[in-house]
Amino acid sequence: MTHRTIRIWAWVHKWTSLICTLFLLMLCITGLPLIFHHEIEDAFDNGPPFATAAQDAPPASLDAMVAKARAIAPDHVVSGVYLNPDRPEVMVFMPPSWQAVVERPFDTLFATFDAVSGIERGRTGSEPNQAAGFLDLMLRLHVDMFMLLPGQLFLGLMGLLFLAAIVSGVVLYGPFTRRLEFGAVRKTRSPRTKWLDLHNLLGIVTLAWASVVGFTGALNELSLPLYQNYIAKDVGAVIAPWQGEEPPAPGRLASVDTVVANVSKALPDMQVTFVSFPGNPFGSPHHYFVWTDGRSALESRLQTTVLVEATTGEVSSILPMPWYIRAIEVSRPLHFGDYGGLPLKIIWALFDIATIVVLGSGLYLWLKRSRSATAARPQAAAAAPALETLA
Amino acid sequence: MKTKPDPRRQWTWPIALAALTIVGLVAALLGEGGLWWPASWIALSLPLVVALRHALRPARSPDARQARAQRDHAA
Repeated sequence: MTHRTIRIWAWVHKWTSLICTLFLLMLCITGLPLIFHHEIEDAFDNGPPFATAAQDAPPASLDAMVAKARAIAPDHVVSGVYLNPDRPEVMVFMPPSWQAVVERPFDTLFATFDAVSGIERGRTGSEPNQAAGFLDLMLRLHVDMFMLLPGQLFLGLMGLLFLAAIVSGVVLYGPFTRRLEFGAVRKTRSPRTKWLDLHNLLGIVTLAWASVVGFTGALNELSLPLYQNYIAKDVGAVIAPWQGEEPPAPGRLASVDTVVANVSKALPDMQVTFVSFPGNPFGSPHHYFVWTDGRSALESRLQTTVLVEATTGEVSSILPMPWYIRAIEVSRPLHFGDYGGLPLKIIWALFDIATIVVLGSGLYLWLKRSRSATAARPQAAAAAPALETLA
Repeated sequence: MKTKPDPRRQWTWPIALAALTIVGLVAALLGEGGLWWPASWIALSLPLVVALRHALRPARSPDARQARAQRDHAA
């Protein structure tokens, strides 16, 4: 590699890193508690214990839960019902209006119910979970910095810059460590040399993990427009015959329990996780739009969506899933690290901390360089390769 | 007056650790329970252990460095 090529890559590494570093530091720090959000929620849940299901007891009525939720916020609409696949919990979502689903998703109210007993466990503002406020704050900062879609796209762009910084960093790793043994940290030299070695060591060791988590994170930030595209194109094509028809009045909607039962009959190997109500922009005005997960670990990544006729509750069609929605589905666990038990989450956190050190040391190296480069410019020309000052 | 660096040797560790990471990430994703999870934990821990070992290794004394330099020079 010629000296000129190295300089160009160093320039790319410097600028891609400088632009994204502070945001990446924020993402790494807010992401740390989010890795353990399940554990934190469970630890701080002071709601009543979940009821244990008696053998063959029918699950509590979803319709009754929806009716209770409607009574909590009569001026809101019920947009969907989430059936938590991990614990016996049902959440009913109530945005202020259908437009708000897209425009102000974080204004959506909710109520949670015990899936077995049907008893309310909490609602917006009086959740059983004391950590919910903190985790919500971390999530908002992590996902969109309170700026909705523009924030998501911006952080997605920062993710792509981070990937460019990783690629250029790997290219520079060659000439920078050429004369060193792998992992050598020159602790007896200047602090800057020591931190350069640590930056190189941790950077190259976290390379694959940081690339995967960076890429899947960027992909997740694009998920809103991709889901909108899916609903407009793929779902839109299927529901085209209903276009122009008057959407059914809320009073004429089929029972949610019937909808779930019919979908479970049509797809016995799948479990219903979300029922989107007719009128939800992420669905159809004339159908319930039902999301299902596979029951096995592997298939749980491969969701299937079903359209259910709004008034009869009959399954209307099982939809094909386009590749880009599949890509988002597979990218989620690879970003969250929640697919291999608690040890995997701990490993995720350790990689996250190592990435924080890489980002912090990179910033330190740049700050130190600007000072020493200005002070030592006359000598720098005379100094031979002086690779270290490029970092 | 140092020995000519061998690029293959320089990249052995980085490539091995990146491959281990990828294997670990995929093992837990596609593996259906059983030994896949522990295999994933081990594969993903190794890069971290290697990094920690190198980062925490005590600094070599100047004498030791000199001795090593002489040895390298002789080679």
